[in-house]
Amino acid sequence: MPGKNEEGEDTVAQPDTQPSEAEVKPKEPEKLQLRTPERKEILGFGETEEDEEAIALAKKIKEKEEKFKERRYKIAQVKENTLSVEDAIREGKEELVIRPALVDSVPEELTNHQLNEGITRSLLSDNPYLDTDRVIFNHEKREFQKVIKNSREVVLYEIEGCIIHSNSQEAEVQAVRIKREEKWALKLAAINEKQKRLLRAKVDERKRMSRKVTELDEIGLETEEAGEETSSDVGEEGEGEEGAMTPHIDAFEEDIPGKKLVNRFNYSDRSVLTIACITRDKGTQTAPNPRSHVTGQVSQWIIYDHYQKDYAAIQEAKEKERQAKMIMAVKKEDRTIKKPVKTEDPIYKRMAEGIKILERMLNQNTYDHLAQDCQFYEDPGDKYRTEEGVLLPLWEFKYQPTKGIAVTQVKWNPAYKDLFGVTFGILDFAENDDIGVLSVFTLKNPSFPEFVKHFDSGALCLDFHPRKCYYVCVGLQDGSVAVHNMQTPNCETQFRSTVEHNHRSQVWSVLWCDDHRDRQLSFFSAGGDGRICKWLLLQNELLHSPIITLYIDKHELSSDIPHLKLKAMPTCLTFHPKDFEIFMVGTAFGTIYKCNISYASTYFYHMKVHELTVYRISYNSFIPEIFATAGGDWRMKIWEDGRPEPLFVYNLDASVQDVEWAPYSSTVIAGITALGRVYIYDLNVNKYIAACAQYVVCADDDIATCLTFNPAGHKMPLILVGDSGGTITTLKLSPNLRLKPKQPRKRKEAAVQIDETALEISKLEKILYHVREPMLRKESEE
Amino acid sequence: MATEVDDTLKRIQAHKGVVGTIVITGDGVPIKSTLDNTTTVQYTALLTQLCDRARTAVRDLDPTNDLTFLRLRSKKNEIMIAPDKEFVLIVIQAPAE
Repeated sequence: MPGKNEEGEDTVAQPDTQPSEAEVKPKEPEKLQLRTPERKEILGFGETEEDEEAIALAKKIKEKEEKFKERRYKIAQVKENTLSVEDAIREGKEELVIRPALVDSVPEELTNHQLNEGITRSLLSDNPYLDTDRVIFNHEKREFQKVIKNSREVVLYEIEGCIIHSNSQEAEVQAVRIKREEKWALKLAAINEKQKRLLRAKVDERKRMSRKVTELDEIGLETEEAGEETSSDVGEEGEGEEGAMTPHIDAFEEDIPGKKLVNRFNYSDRSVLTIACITRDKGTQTAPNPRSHVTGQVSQWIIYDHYQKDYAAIQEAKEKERQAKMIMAVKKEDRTIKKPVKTEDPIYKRMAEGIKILERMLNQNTYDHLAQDCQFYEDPGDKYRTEEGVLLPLWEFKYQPTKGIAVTQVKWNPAYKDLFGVTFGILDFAENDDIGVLSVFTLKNPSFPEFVKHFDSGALCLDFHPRKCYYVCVGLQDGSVAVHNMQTPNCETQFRSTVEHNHRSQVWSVLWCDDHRDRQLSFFSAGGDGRICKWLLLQNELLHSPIITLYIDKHELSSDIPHLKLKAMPTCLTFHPKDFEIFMVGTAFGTIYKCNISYASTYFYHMKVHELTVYRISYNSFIPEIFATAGGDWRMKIWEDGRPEPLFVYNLDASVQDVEWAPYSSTVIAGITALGRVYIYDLNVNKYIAACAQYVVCADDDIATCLTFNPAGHKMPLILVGDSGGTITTLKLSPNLRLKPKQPRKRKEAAVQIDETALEISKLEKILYHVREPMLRKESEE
Repeated sequence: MATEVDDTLKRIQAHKGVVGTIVITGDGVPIKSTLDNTTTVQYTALLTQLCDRARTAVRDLDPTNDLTFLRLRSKKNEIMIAPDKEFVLIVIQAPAE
């Protein structure tokens, strides 16, 4: 086998070292081994002769150690190198190690014959690799010197053992020592307690003493030595004896066997008592952690509230984001950003709302009987009065600041049937006219108005917008008009006409115009200066546009002043219920003008209807050709459009302040005189005698000023009457005053209900037929 | 708005048959009262509890619902309560003879 030779040679060297390792004494330093090289030769293979047994043995050992071989070889190499170099450095010599050149390890190819050929191997004590030509440079002599090395040993591995050969000298020494120690132990056992204490005292003394005392020890005071040994350092001493001190011991032991060994070291023991630490306890008490009990209740609605809050927060965040984006966009376009309007604390709003309802509750309690009457009381006396009815007075509305100030107009709100607006103003113009109030009352709170607005001039008329019922326009005594929005807090004035466009005289009437051609809201006003104006509500201003100026007809004037064109003085304004373009104006001269808003220069006709002021014109709610006028000449007249003669004339024995057709019936008409007497006629029942003529104003010196029907009709059969004392009275119509037309008998059988409106119209038409007939006949006769 | 509330309160106090008005904060502290101290405290303590119970009842029945007003009609008088999260308004009215 290739390389077998090498291995074999290795194994040759191996047994050389192996036994020697086994012989190495425990805890013996390396130097000892080096000093006694002759020992190893004793156990090595000394003969050079061929020995079959030896070979077999070697082979066995080789096999045994094969696994460690390589590692050992390496270790040996490393050790050899390092040790030798280290030694050289230690001795101050530079050692040059000349190694034999490595044999070319490339194996030559062998033939089969050669391979099969038996080879006899022999072991030699000679180490063929031993370097014989090693030289060392001697610095003293300044030359190389050959190193003479007799030893052929190669140390491959060394380990210190703890086993001693029983026959060795070492073992003998150890045996003697053990014997001696046993002897001493026996001796010590004999020493009594007193002696022991003495010894200990001496030991203490010795500790306090200096080196001098230790010298005394060396002289060999037996007792002290005994003390030493008995004292705590027995173990240490034993080790010392066993280990490093063996050579000395050997020397003494041979001379005086069994004698106590003396401590040869310069022994000193010192002890110092340091200041004892004083232990102190220190305690601090911290403030106890704050504790709190948290308890809660959970119910379905609490959870619901939390969800709602969460949802609201999310929505708000979204909104903010959106607004931020908007603001960014606006910033890019325009630098001017409107500051958000500072809104008031919502708690006050809620509080105001709550307290308002509380006030209504109070009033409900206080005026409970009135509310009950309003809703349920029907005068049982009507059963026996076939053609008559009565008015049941209910709430009285008073507003303290307007006490003594005349009610100029009362108007129901078209959307809320319990809400109505009132204007207050002084009608006697000789007096100071700087007080004017617009107040909006509700039937639910008779004690205080819902909205109040004070003006610096008397308010003469108002109107609610038919669709946007929160807009109120007001005409004032100084000729200006104002628009209020009831949705804003405090019912703020949104528009007020400017001085340049104002009427030159009192505004006697205002009316919202439901003109669908205008995109903005608009209203008309009739002023004492003869002008009819239209006002458009723009974004920020009130746009003024004159419609028509009314002049007094020349024929009506005396011929003394033929060239003077006098303006008429409109007192009332009414729109045609079906045609928003047509309106009628009554004047202070007793004439009425029928006009169209599209033609500013002319009007359909004008007609003298009263000798004195026309206070009101009211269209019939079912047949718009029929209208009624109230005049200061004590007359209330019913007219048909286009007919110069009135259909009915009623003399009411006092100035008729107001007239109105009932919204629920085509034949019921109500008028009020200045004396405070309400006249209600039902033409269907009796054309000549009033169904009701009743005084409704208490105070003697007060005059009634206005009257109005509730637009809800049959649902709320109420009329409001205002007087010059500032009181508004609510009156309920008894059943006789609001009769419903009977269904025709034939139809009734057929169970076909005719529309109530149609019935109302037919009812009035029937009456009109009887009135028109004689008039037509009369005309034809003439 | 605040003045409006004040004005209305004054009006209510002047109203016929009103015995007293109390304004309570959300924490149950009376901040305005026309009654004497003992009565106010008693009313406050009892009526806030009642309000809470009433609200719980209403809201337990339907969480989307809420208590808005409370009227207590007794033999001698009527107590009207406007409860809110942050305040409670109480008006005590003796009905007209």
